[in-house]
Amino acid sequence: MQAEQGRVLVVLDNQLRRARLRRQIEESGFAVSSTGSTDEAATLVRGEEPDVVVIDACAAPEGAAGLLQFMQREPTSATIPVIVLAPDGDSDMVQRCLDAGAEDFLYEPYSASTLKAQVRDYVAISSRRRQDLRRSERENLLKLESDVQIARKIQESFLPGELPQPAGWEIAARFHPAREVAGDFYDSFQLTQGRRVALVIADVCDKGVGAALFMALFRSLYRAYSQQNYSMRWTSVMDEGFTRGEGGASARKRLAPQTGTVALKNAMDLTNDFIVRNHADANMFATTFFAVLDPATVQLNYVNGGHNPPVLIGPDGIKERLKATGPAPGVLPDVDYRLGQAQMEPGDILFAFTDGVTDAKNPAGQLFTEKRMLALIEPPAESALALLDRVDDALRAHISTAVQFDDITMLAARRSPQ
Amino acid sequence: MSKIISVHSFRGGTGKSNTTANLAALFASAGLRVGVIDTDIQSPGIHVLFGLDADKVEPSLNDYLWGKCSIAQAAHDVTANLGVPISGKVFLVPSSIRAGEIARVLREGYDVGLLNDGVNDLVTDLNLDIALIDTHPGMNEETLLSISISDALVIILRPDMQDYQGTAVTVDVARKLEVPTMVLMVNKVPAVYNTADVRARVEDAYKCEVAAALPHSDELMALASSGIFALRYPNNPLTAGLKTLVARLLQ
Repeated sequence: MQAEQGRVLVVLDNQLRRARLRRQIEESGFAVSSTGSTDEAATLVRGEEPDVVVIDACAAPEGAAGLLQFMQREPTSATIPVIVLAPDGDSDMVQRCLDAGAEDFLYEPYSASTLKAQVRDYVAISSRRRQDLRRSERENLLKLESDVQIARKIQESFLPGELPQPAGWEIAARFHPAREVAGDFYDSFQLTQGRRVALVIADVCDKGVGAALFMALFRSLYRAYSQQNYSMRWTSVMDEGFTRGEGGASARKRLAPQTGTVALKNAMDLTNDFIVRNHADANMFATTFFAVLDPATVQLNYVNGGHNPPVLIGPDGIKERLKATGPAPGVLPDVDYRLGQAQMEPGDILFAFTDGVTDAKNPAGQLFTEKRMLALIEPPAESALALLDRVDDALRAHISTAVQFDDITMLAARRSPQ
Repeated sequence: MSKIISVHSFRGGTGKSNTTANLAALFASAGLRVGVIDTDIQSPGIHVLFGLDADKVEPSLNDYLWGKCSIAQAAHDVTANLGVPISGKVFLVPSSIRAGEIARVLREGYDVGLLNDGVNDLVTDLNLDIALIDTHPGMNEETLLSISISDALVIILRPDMQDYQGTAVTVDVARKLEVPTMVLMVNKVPAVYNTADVRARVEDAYKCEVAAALPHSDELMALASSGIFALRYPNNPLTAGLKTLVARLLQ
């Protein structure tokens, strides 16, 4: 450990000269380690982190130059001042050592007072360098911590305060952010003058402030575009390519949307186009599941853009997985998202989740796994909240003391039993 | 089995709303329950033919679109306004004539899915045999929707070069969408033209059946949309033409 005044490492082959040098430096009040070999010196530099190294230019086996090169490789040892003792008049030797990283030199025979003065000066310089290094490390840590706080705040401000609770339905969510924000989000809001309710869950790729900003962008675009009723679908019928595989009864069906499905398509198609056109360089995308439910009927319309397929659970267990109907938004231009449909009978629960659930690691590094999650959600639950609690408790027990690397997000909607 | 019939024209002034109202009255005279929906939100007019004053047009389709009522609640029973005993029924879902309402729709837009769901709900809720959709002229979102959901499409045109060109576009679109039944009706044929000739030429030009070719009628012009022509003048040749169209649509 560091002596109060400072520690000096002395590297000299000759035992007598080494002992004398040691004595001289100890007289100045510094602690001294000494060795006759540059190999051992390397070990001592690493282990003890001396304030100054005094080395004979010709110390065996590699000479001062060899040790200097070794020290330059590591940032902590590169800043330790090295004083080289060189044979009188051998300026080539001195130059070689200075080029290799030595800070100063003394020609043999040296005067004891000159040596002591140099050692004292360089110990002081070394100590100041150490303090500067520690300060900049602290500043970096503070900045990182502040970035994490900023990202966390952005993420929180874009999550819904309250979830809509349409008559005959229960909508609930759970959100546990990772230490470093990972860009998950969920959302729920009303559409078409309250006749429909949107349910969104998404996972923005990447981590940190970048992911949080894109999460804010995706979430805003989804909301804004889904409120846009204007549609120019009729123009597609005038296109040259319309007849190719597009005509007839299937085309008629596509052009006759149900309430809320134009909003759904607009939200996904237009958001995808916006990100691809305006942020191609950022290479950002967000796997997204976006559903529109009609509180009065059984039917749910949805788009799944590359997201983990949500689970539809009935009284007898898992009924369906709502699989992908297109790629994750933000990757490919001009995607025409397909709409999926599901029936939600009274008592059914829709359970949506992100990777953070299935990939949660325990202290031994084992994953929670989708299999385990599915087994957990299959048995009947008395409410959406109860189901989320069930998974949440199991996750917490699994993760226990391990660090949570990914955001954990879950969204559940339950149709009340009649 | 209920039928959804759209009445369309590429350009304005072809006599679409008048024809739709007359078709509705004739269907109802045959004992059917008929619903008429005025989807021409920008320039509504058919409510006049059914005797609804401007201030009696609420609740309207607009109210349904804003979620203030169901579509059935926006349906007015106008059977009595026809002025003659009718064995069937006519219900009208009018569009608002208030400038503020029209402006709101144009400004905010609306979910066109509501029209689709609305027509279906109207048929179910009022137990309709026929739903007639009156559309705004030209190609637009509502026209496309009505063509997509219709069992039959009636395209009205005058023997006029502008109408001929425009109709080709609509016929083309309807063909691509494979509408089950599509017929043309040539309207306002000048007295100097030979109606049979006009009919034959139009059929040949579009390779599409012309269900009726109706002469221009001063009497109809004079009626000035204050009533239903077919009920007022049951023996007029124009009425006979309309009855042929009705028969064709009921096939």
